[in-house]
Parts: sequence; C-alpha cells; structure tokens
Amino acid sequence: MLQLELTLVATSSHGALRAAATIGQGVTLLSGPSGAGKSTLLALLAGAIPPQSGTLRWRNQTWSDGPSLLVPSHLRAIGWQPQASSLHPGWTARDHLDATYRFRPQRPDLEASVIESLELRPIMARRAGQLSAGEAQRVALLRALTACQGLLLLDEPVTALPPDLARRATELIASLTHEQGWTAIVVSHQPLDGLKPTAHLELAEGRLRTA
Amino acid sequence: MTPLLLSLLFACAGTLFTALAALPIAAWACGLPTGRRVAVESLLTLPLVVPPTAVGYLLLRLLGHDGPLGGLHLLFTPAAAVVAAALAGFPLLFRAALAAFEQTPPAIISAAAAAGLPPREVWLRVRLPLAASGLAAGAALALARGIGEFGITMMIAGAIPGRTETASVAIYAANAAGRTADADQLVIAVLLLSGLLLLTVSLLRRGR
Repeated sequence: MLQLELTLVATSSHGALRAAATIGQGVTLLSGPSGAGKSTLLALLAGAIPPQSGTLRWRNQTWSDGPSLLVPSHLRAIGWQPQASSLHPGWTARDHLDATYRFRPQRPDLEASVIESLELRPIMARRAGQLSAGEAQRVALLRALTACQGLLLLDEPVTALPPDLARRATELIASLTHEQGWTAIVVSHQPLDGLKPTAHLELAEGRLRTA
Repeated sequence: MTPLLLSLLFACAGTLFTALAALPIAAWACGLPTGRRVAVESLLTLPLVVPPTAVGYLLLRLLGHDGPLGGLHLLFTPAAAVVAAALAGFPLLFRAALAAFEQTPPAIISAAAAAGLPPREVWLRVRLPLAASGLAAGAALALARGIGEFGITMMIAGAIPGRTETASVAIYAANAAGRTADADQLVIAVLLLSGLLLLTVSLLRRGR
C-alpha cells in the first residue's frame, strides 16, 4: 500500500504538482496530458527529487515527510524505469544487474524469465552505449523488474518497442506484478494492451484524480 | 636541476594537489542549488582572472614571517613553486570537473541510485567514470597552466637557480641578462611541451 500526499512546486511550465492518493497492490495506470507531471511524480516516488511538502508512506515506512527525504532512493523498495535513457553507456545489461545485486537480493528465476520474454539473451553482453532505443528500453525494464522490492515505477516502458514485443512486455509487467504482489504504477499516454490495470489515475493540471 | 625539469616537476605535483582539492569540491558544488553553485564557481575561479602578481602578493602576506601561515616556512622553497602551480591550475581543473559532472544525464545517476547503489557507489562507479575524459582534459589544462606559471612563482618562490627557477622564470632572467641563446632554447622547449599538452586536451575532449 502506497500512500502519498505530495506537493512539488516545480520550476517548469506545469507549475505546482499536488498529488494525493492511496495506491494498492496491482497495476495502476497513470495517464494524463504530456507536461502534466507524470514523470515528475514517479521521480518523487523514486526519491530522485525531493517534494516541497507532504508525506509519502510505503507500507509502514515513511519515505518522505516535508522536504526531507527520510529514506533515500537506494534504500527504497523500488524498481524504476525512467522515461529518459538511464543506462550507464559503458555497462552491459549484465553489469547493470550485477551492480544491483550487490545491494539487493538476487532474483535468478525472475531474471531468467524476463530475459526470455523480452528476447534479451543476445544482447546481455553488449554495452548500453551500443544498444538501439528499443533494446535499451528493454534492458532498463529488466533492471527495474529485477531491482523491484515491492513498488514498481515504469515510465512509458514500451514506447520504443514493436507492437508484438510491446504487448509481450506489457503482459510480463502485469503477470509479474500479480505473482510478486507488487504495487506497480505504469505511466502511459495511451491504454496498453494486456496491462489489465486494477486502477486508473489521471494527472491533469497538477492534480491527481481517479479516472 | 634544469629549469625545464623543475617546471615539469612543480606543475605535476601542483596538478596532483589541485586534483585532490578540486574534485571533491566540484562534486560538492554540483549538488548545490543554482544560485549558490554560481557563487562558489565564481569565487573559486578568481585565481584565473586576478593578476598572478596580486595572488602572489596575497600569498606572500599569508605565508610571510608575520603571516598566519608563516610557521610553515614555505616562501622561496620548491614547495612554494608547487603551491603556485596548484593555485594557478585550480580554477581550470575545478571548472572542467564541474562541467564534466553536470554533463552526465541526471536519469543515469538517479536510476543507478534507485536500482540500489548507495551515493558513494554512484560516485565511484557511475559519475567519476562517465566524467573521466572531461576530468583528464581539465587536468592536462591545469598541468599546462602550471608549466607556464610565472607571476605567482616569481612572488613566492623566487628564482633560485637549480631550486626554484622554473623555465618561465629562467626565460625572463636569460633575456634580462642578454643570454639570448639560452632563452631561445627554453622558449622552443616550452612551446613544444605546451603544444603537446594542448593536443592531449583536444584529443581527450574529442574522445568524450
């Protein structure tokens, strides 16, 4: 259970972002016009930027209270796939997973099934700097899924993939979320085939509401 | 030791010390809010624009007998020449480091943290390696500046032949004494050395 009541007065065009919601287990689709602050909201949940005020609670932990980050990003139970390219260009997919495994539990079964469904095996040893946009997006998704300890934050996770692979990736996100009992927030500007969200939130004009 | 060798030695040692200070300070400064970062950046760039004689004069007051750091007895020793090279190169390396750190896309840094890497690991394994070519270019520039150092060195290290007389100081002395052949030789050597360093900087910048 994720409880959030956050305020961010952003310096960008969309101004203040005020989000209050309680998000339960399962997949929540987060949509809204571009520039509404969807990516900013995920970055707030991930601890990449501090909120200006409000509280953020995950299960019985308080992650942030007011502007202070009580639990820094690396100690949050998250898997986060930002929309922008986020891979270390000098690292392979394997390097990304190994770096995470030094600080989070290893997930060999989960890892193997993600590599299989996303057809990542041939590119596991290639440096991220040499990957195409679609390949990089799949590797970023793989990292988010293996790092996730309960709260999965995906920002337009399949936009660079061809339709069949996008559908398979979406179904994988849905089934893993269900199997693992995760809370997943998936940002998408359009409905995703196979996601079967249990809730749908919309962020518009700086406010979060149930769609 | 020959002036050219002394120049190289002082510049290398100076760049090393300056790197030890400039990198952590740049790492700290790039996390500051914009206003404060600009203030820090301007303040620490001062040695680049203030006349070297003025910087040297301030150091003289600081390191002189009755100065607050007079007890170190650094004036007119080789160590003073290292201080001069370090101070002269600092703004160049500091600014290069700040720019290199800021150039790394924030998503790469925050995604690494979100994937479990603590801040120290993010610095050591992500931010420093991704800034490496920029840092190396900054260090080469600081080294070149250290080799060319004249004003601060003259003020605080003097021109003791074989001890603190660097190439740039020796060129001045040779010319003043009418030893044109000596000056010619040194100028050619310094030109070659500095040209080589600048070439290195350009190659490193391209390698980004």
